[in-house]
Amino acid sequence: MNTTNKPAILIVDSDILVRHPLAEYLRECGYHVLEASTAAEARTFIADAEVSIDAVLADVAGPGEGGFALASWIRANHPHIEIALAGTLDKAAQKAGDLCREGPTLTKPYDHQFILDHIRRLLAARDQRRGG
Amino acid sequence: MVPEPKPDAIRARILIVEDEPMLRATIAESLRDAGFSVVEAANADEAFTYIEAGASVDLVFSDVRMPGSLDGLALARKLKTTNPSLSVILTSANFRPGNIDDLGPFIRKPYRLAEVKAQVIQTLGLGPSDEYDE
Repeated sequence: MNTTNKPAILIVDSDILVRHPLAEYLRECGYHVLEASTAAEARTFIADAEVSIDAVLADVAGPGEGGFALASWIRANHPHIEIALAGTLDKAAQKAGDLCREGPTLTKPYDHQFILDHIRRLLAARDQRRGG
Repeated sequence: MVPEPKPDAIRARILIVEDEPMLRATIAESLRDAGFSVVEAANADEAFTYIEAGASVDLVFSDVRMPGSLDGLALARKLKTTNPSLSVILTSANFRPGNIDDLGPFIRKPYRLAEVKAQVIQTLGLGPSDEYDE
């Protein structure tokens, strides 16, 4: 699906009014962006052999299993994918930080520039690990 | 390599309403590559939320059968009530519903991406579809 060499970011958020503007911003910044409304949709993307995802940005409070369970599943089954979790509560954000390689995690409402910088750091650190 | 913002290349804005994520992403990517601004909704409720928030949309391309409080037909009728000039294209794996002539064109699944693109361009009156080739 990602026929470009752009890094692929999967945004998981059930609120279209939050997800769409962030996705558009990241596309304008040169990323290939996939949008999932639920963790179940996110799993569909991640499990598809044609989709190669570099990083997942997920809301901790999504419907169904939510971002925590999704992050744990990714950690166990797709450890090469970077994860950033976002939440509106400090406690949730702290717990999310434990699941992510780089903390602190993100708080909502999203600051698009902050998220862009966070994703760049995550992918740069990953590339450094691979290179090292 | 750090990606940089690209110049805007926005034409009409299309709202895709599809509950199958891979299909939704594929058709969205195809239409973006053709130069359209594309919004992705996972169901009719999301689509309605987006439009109710005041967002401007030129065309809605919606699946008919979806989970949630609205299906594609109900969404189209609801949107047409408040915005009769809104362009709508409906799609389904089933046969064309008999009562949608007032809503817009119908595309049967499975469809080719080029077929959807051509229908979008025709419905919006944007001219020959070869001007929008990727």
